[in-house]
Amino acid sequence: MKLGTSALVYLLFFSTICVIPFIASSVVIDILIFCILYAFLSTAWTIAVYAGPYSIGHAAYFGLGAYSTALLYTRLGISPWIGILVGIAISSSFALAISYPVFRYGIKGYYYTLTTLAVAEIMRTIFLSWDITGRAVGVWYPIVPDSLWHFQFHTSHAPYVFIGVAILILGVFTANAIKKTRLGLAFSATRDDEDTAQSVGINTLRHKLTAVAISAALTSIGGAFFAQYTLFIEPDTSMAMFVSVDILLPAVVGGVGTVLGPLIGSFLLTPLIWILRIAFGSEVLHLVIRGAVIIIVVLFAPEGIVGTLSKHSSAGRKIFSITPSKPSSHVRH
Amino acid sequence: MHLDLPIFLNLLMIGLFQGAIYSLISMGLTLIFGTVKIVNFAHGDFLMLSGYFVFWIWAILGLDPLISLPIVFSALFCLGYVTERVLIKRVIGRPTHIQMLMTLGLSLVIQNLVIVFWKADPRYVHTVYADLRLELGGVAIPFPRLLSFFVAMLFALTLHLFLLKTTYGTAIRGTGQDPEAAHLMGINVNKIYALSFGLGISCNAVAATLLSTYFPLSPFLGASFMVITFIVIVLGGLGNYMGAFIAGLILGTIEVLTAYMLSPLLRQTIPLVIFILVLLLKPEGLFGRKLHR
Repeated sequence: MKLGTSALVYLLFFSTICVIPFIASSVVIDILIFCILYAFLSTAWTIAVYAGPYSIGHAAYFGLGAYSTALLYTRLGISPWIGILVGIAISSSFALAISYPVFRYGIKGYYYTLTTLAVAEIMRTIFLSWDITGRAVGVWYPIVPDSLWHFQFHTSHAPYVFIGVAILILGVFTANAIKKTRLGLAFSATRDDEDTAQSVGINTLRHKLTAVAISAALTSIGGAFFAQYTLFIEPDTSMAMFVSVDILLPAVVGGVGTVLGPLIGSFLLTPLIWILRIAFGSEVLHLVIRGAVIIIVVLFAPEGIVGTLSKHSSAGRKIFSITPSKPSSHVRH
Repeated sequence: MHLDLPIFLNLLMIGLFQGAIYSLISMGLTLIFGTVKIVNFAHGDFLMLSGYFVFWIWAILGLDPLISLPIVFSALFCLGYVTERVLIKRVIGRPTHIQMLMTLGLSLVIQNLVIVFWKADPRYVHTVYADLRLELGGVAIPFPRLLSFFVAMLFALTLHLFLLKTTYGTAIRGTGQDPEAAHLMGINVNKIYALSFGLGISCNAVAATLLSTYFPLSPFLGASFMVITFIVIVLGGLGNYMGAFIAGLILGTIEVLTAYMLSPLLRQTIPLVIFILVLLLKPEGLFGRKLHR
């Protein structure tokens, strides 16, 4: 069975990541942490795209996760681990509350994209003007000695790598599980042709909501991880539009709607951007590169690396073990 | 909060002045959407770029922004035309997300190249009339704002007449309504796409010229106007340029009234909430021209 080989590849990949902190310098570890974080966030983002249109407002869920964890810890002294769970609950219910009317009223295409952007911007402007969220000053963590309970590690950043790998495995496992089951088929049927999907009895509204809620929950974990790593968050770094772009970029480069795409995208792109950052010392040149990468991908590989490779060669299809999607009529609900 | 008539009238005026700029930028954006069917996420960055054109012409040649307007307008038209020919035409008719990514990428490139070359510091254009004030019924009106309001109105009228009365205007509207029928009528649709993109982009030249007389320029100028112009074009009905014109004025007024009556920090929040409500309840925009989505 194919599952065996791909499981082996994943195992090899994740164990390699776990070995790196023992042999690499601290800069490499930091770059690795961002590779893992964006691979995870992009995986979370692409789950929403399994069933629906592109969102450019995932910064809202990212920020909610980051803020829930940070505020519960700094104001009430609640462990970040519990904060993460609260963040998941808040951001997935927020996603459902926002998405229900949006999908119910049939907002599509550009209207949907602009709505997601508007929602994230509403969150950002509210958090910028709300006393509880610390306004523009943001939330600063008190620094405590290394502790798993407090989710802070200063002597070495290696524990962040291990925790990051754990959540990345969670993300990849979730994405894989969705893809392999009827839920995934119902998702892609909903995305590809909503009317046909409905006509064969798929509740498209419920499936779109499910996808967005799972995606929001995972994204908020990424936000919480980010907050615990930087130990400082503010609305402009955790909810601005560029956060949403950063989240979707690895998937776009690697291949939207695939499980491997976000991983490949992030592990190629993040080091590239960091190397450019270090080499040129410019604050913004890496953003120019980011924009150029988007344009190049759109022009030459609109389906991303995985999508393009598997489309143009049977070898590629074999490597990424992509089976052509089954007709949606096979799905009954 | 107490709000008496003179204060209200004053706020209304500031709001309309602000709104006129939104109208200009949004008319360009919605003109592009109406014809090319692309929401240009890089629109604000072209606004910022024209602001820098205005600034450099003023700084090097000493030309007043209003005198350099024709130069900047033509430059931006050419830039828009070329951008369409080189990049945008490759994504026309493609899925929404592909178009969105293309203009998003373009936006990142333009904005950050400007930061790389000219740094992020704000720049100011000092005109001779920058500090002039007009007294009107006990209210002091800054002359640059009044001037820009009238120029904006004049330009909007010109654009309207151009689209309504000229051959090219008719071709642009026709292509927007039905590209295939327009093609059958002997219209070079590809050329019209490039023309409308150029024209849409050059609306930014007018907005940037007017803004530069009282507003600091920075690479983030475009980003700060982007969200509000998206709201305006949806309120006006995507592709409806007269709708965008009126929605711009309304939104400017709402923004100023919110800032005064609730909190300056909610200035952006209230229009965004209105935006989502309109999308849910009346997605064709406030002025009800039915659009095929």
